[in-house]
Amino acid sequence: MIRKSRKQIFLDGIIFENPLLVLAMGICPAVSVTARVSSGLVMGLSMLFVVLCSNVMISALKRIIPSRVRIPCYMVIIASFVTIARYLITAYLPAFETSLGVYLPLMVVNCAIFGRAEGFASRNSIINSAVDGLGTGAGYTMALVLMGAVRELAGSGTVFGIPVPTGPVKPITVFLFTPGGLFTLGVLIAIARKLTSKGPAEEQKKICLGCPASAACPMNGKGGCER
Amino acid sequence: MKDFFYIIIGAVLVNNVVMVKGLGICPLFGQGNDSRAVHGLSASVLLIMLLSTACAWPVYRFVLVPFGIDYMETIVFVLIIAGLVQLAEILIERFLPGLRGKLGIYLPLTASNCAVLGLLEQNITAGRDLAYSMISALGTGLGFWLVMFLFEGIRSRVDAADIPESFRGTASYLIAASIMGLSFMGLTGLLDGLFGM
Repeated sequence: MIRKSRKQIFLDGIIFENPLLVLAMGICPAVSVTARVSSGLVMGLSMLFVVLCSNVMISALKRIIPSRVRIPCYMVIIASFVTIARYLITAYLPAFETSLGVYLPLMVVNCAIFGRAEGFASRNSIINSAVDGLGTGAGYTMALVLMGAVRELAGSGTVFGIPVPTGPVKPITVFLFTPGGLFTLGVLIAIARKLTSKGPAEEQKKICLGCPASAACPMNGKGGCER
Repeated sequence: MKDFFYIIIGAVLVNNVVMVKGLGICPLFGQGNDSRAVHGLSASVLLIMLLSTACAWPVYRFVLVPFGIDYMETIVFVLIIAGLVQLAEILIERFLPGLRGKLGIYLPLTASNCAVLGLLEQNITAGRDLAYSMISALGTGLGFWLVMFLFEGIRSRVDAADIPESFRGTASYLIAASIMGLSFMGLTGLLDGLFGM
């Protein structure tokens, strides 16, 4: 394994290995909660909290967790932090509890978090894992905010709830629904791939790295997971 | 009986788990492109949805709530799903070895499918009773199956098309899925029309 500086680890998470735009991980919450910038931001920050804490915890416990039962162990650790994040939001940001709804507990099965646990935190030092968690979380947050800005502007003509003059162009309401989210994400992924020039093959390898089932999967690392 | 069809049609077409709620999108973009994989995975998801609802609902109602630990629901549900997947795998291996190739190899993938956990959470948040939860599990699983099946056909055409390099793969699948989602949005008024509610 090539040793990377901490700055490089952090930047990788934000740009070159951006979980959403480059690796296409964690698509479900991204298309569902980004109808407004603010809910995208809160979702991204909860992800940041969970991936940072679970990375640190898993890295600290990496010699204690037996490798055969590591997947359930990671699930319990991640689920605990997800529960903490969920109740913090219920207590301090109750308005977002309804808009994020079921997608907050669903962070447990988010492959972006799992990918960092399995692919990074389980074999790196605590500090490096924390830096990686910060980078991944910040990258995911930025991607969600970007998606939220595009969708809110196109769908309701506002950004952060502030009306933006769009001239004669009327808001296109469909951007606020799931199809609009899928479309926005598709275009953003294409732009990101153009900018970072990563081919589909590279992407597939990374998806397997993040898949919680990869340990049990006969096609691990080769692609074609569903066959 | 009317309620049964109301819930089923609602879950399959009007509030489709993938196209309207945006859950369980990842399996759409897996690289497998033969219909056997699609049916194997979808059948596993349906099976695990039914089993996990049948387990999670009583556990939540009779264990978590009476002991005041309902905040543990996410952790418990995840473990229930993982345990059932493991159990189903062992049982299929032991008693129905003929199904192993068709169903067994797709079971591990369902443990990480957010549509399954999402269903359990929604059953609890919406305060549904056991019968309602089981029927929505059936409807949600069938809705997932329908979308997987339809999208498999679209995906093979998208793969064959000549599209710009940066749009290949996930990006083009997402846009194709978005257009498919638009057609599901057209079914919004279906329940009112059918049942007059």
